[in-house]
Amino acid sequence: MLNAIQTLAAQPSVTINPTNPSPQSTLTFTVALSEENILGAWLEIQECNGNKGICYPKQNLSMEEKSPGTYQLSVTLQHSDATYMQYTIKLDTPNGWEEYFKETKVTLSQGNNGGSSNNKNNAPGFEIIGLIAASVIITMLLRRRR
Amino acid sequence: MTRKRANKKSGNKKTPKKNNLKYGLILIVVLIIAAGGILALTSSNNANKPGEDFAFYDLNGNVGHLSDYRGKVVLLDMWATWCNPCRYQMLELRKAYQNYSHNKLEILSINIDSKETIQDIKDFIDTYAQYGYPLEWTFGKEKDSLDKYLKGGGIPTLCVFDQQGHLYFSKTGLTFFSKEDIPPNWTGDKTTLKEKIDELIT
Repeated sequence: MLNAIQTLAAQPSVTINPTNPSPQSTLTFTVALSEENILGAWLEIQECNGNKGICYPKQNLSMEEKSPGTYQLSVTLQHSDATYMQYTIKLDTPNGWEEYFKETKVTLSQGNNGGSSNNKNNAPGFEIIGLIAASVIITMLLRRRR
Repeated sequence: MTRKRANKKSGNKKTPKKNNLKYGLILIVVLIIAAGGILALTSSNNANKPGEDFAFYDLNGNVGHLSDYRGKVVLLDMWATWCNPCRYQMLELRKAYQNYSHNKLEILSINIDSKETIQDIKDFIDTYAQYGYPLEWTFGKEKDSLDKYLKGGGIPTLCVFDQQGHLYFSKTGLTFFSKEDIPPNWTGDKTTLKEKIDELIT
């Protein structure tokens, strides 16, 4: 029973501001710890697009100790097409790394997003010749009318 | 008579413009044909080029190469354990591995997260096996950089190499095995593994 209480006491709490983030917004993560012998706190964060089934590379970021037992980090989400993010808090303890809130999912509000995408697959290619040809023909026709 | 001459004169004035238009159109046609020719030449040169190659570490720590699988269609799956769509992708790859002869198709699932270890990959495979989904193809870790195949860095990214090792198809995002596997509400790309493999394996 005592062990269970100690385990609960060791569990950090995390707050995210804003609570309802959108893609590319800046979030502030605050981790409050009851344990004192923590050497450092890290935030692992990944952004994903659930509609396309894509995750972007995970970021592993060191959190700043604002006051004893309180770590904080502001991070700006990078992908305009992300529909959710996942985070994990990793604590560096004398016993090694401990993970909390493993892969906690936060849905990103799409309301403020203009719907733009990072999709760079539609690079101009051979069809540009058609565009040039059309421009030349239009220019010639206009000149002819004059 | 005078009017006729005048008309003739104005008609003669129009001739250079007509000629300009004619020559312009001929020039455009020539350009299009030339561009087409260059494109055809490039693609035929590509067929004669040696296949692509890269090295990876297998789960025993040995070095494997894409070129070890010449003669087979190779699905290169770039993934990481923390990536949810990559986990789902494994189930779709499993269907592909079960549906084709292993003499004709090989799958290389290469973990691209430098922080993940071979033990992490083994644990990942064990978890699937515990749930009754053994993943029996080739797994490994990145040795040579695979950045050139990772469009925009997103995972899972799948590349299909033909029997000569030429890159035939690539896609970032979850790819289902067949049309029947695509959920009705799926809004992503609907290209399937089966259609791409079938184009290479007759």
